[in-house]
Amino acid sequence: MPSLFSALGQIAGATVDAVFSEGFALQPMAPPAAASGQRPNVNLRMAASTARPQIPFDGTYVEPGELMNAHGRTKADSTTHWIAGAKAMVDVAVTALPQRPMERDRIIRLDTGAVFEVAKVLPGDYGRLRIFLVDALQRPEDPR
Amino acid sequence: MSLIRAACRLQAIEALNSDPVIDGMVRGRVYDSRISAFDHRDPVPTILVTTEETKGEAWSHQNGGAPFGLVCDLVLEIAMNSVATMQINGMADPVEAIGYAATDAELEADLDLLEERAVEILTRGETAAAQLLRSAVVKRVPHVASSRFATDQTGEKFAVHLVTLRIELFTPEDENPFAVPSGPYALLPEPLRTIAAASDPDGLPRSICDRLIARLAPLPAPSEPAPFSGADMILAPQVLDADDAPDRAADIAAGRTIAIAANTPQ
Repeated sequence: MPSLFSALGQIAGATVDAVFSEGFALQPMAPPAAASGQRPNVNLRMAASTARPQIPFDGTYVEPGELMNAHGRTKADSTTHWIAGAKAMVDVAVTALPQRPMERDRIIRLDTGAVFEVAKVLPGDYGRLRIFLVDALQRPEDPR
Repeated sequence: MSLIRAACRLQAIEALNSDPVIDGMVRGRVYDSRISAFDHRDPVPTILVTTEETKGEAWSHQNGGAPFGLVCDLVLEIAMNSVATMQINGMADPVEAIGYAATDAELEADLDLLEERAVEILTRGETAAAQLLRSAVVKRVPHVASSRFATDQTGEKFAVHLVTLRIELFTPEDENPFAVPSGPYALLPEPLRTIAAASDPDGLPRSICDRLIARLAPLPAPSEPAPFSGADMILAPQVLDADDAPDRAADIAAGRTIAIAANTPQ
């Protein structure tokens, strides 16, 4: 039996979803099929997974902007220039997804059609998952 | 210059995957320069291959510039956690979860084994991929360093061996201009050209090289230069008169010239 806090958390999560959530689709991805007797190559471009189906789900999209730096192994982060970016994230109830998304799965924001790649999945409190995203769309050609 | 680093990474991954022990344990999870974080539920062990600090002195200290004698760090992050059994969500094949380390001692021994095999295959391996790495890309490995990292903050006992191999890279000499490379990878510099030609058509080196070739397409295809065959000259005797400037056209028209051809025999 779930704890009282757990049950309350789920109810609160459902309320938040009812107000803030929107439709998404999770497209699981996998390395391209390999010839028989060979391992799938994890470094090649991913293709839609045949083992895991596409799943629609509802979640809350959050996109706080931030100034960031690229990381190096031997030098300080401030060695290279600042990047202005947004840490896009979808906050979902664990129960909204029959399976946990994996890194490099695709997530489509149905409202805008924007396509994202899953960067990492972190559990939140009371049955929530935070799926951090990276933008998978190609930028338009815009020479300046 | 830096494409030799790509060659080093691509062929090192081929060599690591060609080792039967690594292949049996890692099962192809040798990642090239992976940026995103690993999930603690991802299957392990994994090997993350990157090329890091690269330095080189110009072969000609007087002229400077390329070619440089390059040294780069090839870094392997060999990572594994210890769980007796594990079910990966969404993964139909439960065999993936069998064979994990169950204790800290087993985990460390497995990591030592992987490190042993990785260094062995990269520096002394006898598989075709390892031989190609040593014959075309790596001149020698003068230095190795290994550091251990461990944590249980991820909810699982997790350890990483960070192996840094200092690699002296083959710097190809300037090629004979009359031995013009041909074939689909002619525009790629050595040793990437050799690696592309030798790689599996469905493999990573071929895929990356095909992409690089598409990027290099604006460059003209290599062609054989016209060899220097000599020079033609004409001499026209002139009157020593400061007011009478030489007139080349008039000399030729009047036939006051002596032609000299200094051509090499063909």
